[in-house]
Amino acid sequence: MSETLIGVLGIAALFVALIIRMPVGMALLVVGFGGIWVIDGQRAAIATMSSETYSSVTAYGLSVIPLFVLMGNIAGAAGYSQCLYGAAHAWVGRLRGGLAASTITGCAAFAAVSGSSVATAVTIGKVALPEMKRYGYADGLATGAVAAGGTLGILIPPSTGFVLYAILTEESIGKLFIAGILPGLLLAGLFVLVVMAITAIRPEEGPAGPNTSMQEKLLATLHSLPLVGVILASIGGIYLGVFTPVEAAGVGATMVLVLAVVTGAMSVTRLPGILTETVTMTAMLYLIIIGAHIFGPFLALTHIPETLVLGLQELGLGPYGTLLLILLGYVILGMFFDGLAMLVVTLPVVFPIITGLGFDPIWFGVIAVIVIEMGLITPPVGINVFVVKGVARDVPMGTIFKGVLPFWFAMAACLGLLILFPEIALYLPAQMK
Amino acid sequence: MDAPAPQAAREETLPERILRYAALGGGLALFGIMALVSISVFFRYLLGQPILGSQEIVEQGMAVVVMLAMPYTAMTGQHIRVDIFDRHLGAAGRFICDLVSRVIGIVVLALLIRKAADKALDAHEYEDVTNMLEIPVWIAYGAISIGMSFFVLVLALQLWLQFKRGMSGYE
Repeated sequence: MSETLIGVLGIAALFVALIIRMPVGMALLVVGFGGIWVIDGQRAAIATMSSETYSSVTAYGLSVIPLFVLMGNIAGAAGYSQCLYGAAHAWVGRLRGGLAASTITGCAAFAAVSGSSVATAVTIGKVALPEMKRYGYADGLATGAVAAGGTLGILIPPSTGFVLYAILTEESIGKLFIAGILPGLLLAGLFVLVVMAITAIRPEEGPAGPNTSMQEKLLATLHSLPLVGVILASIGGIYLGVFTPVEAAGVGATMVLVLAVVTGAMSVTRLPGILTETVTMTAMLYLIIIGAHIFGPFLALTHIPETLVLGLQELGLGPYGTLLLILLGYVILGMFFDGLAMLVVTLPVVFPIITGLGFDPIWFGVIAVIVIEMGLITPPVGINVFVVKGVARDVPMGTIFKGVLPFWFAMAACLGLLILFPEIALYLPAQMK
Repeated sequence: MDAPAPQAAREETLPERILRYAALGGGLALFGIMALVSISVFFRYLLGQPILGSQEIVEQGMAVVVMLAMPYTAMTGQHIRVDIFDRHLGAAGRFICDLVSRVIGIVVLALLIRKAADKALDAHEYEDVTNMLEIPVWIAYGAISIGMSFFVLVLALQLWLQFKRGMSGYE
């Protein structure tokens, strides 16, 4: 049996393992281990499994994940999401569609402390949805804004998506974080444009909110300033070369914790629950990383990535044709797969193709994360839609999916702009010290 | 594919409580890492004196953090898995799939545990240490073998409960 055929069978076995409800990380681990055993023997398979597990759990760069997750969890528990939403609400809430625009702005701001789309959608959704309901917003617009806005969590740094991408492709976490800033802001802007367009066509879907005085505006802004300061210090620190991403995460988490405890926003007694929640999410991500690190060498042994590169070159689609084919594949896979798992499973094959075609790996990291975001709101398995459904229980699932559709097109537009103008993602990393 | 929805509130079992405390131990270790990273930055910029080797503590400490939390994450069903085919599998299909998935998991992880334990013993015998602070490497390998052993125990417990409850747990 040829190594390529073993690889194809391995990929098929991976899909079977996923279908039979095996955890994604475990499925990658088992199939990678089994594949190496078939090609190189039991000894090599066990040795690879052991050494890859060790190198995964002791990888310094990966410690950025739990530290940023901790920072986001503390910020959520301290109610800082409310402060960020409140500030946005005070400034634009009185406009038509203003509450939905505030929701997106609040999501974008909270995304800068949280690396998770789900966490962003939940924390902002809990604050914003009741408010939009109170002012008579259409359910579709309200839930769509939260579900789509929440996806900014993995584009605007810190982002678990970027960390996984960086680890799997050996790219710089810091550069990827910084590369996500402008596309994140662009996407947030496009989301706001969607809200404006919807409320211009159907004003009854997003009536104007209450008027706020200048004093209220300034007070709301003042409340959000400490957290904005932490965001600027940690992400700005990476950009200026003051911190490594791990240091930015550690210092950011410490600052948010001190801020929350000193200002009385969070009691220390909540810390055990927050720590347990953080390490649980960490273990979940690490099992996937361990699995990916064992599956990767198996794929390399099968030469499938090289074979695919050659096959695609023979198709004669050209770099952009191939890229669009890959993105189409991602969009389809995103309908059924968890985004991070999809990234981990496909990157060992897709990344060599992309770099072989001459595309910038940092730029493709941003593209990949946006495609993951699209998957987060695409039926039938749009996890952010389920999360929003958990907060807005009375809104039918169909209404939420219909509500996110215009935002999905905004993501596609953002993707198009990034393909046309790669500098949107690459300008800031090029300026880094 | 989705992380399973949180279970309805019910009384925590003894194994769950023990593993939750272990995960909390991992959380406290993470808290220590957070403090170390911040202090290290503080020392470097404000006192002009970096804490040499702090990176090694973070690296070895992360192995402890992850492995203390791994069994609790498995016990509470928080590892991401595909669930969109569940309806099509039916109750009997889900029962068989879980059985196969858990048995394979136990077998493969058992091989990993044995190798990691051997590595830990070797590292201890040959006094393998990190470069700067000379932290024994067996700690991380030991954490892997212990954490994964509890992971296997969780899978075995889930398997036992699966047989005990039979199909009723799947309907």
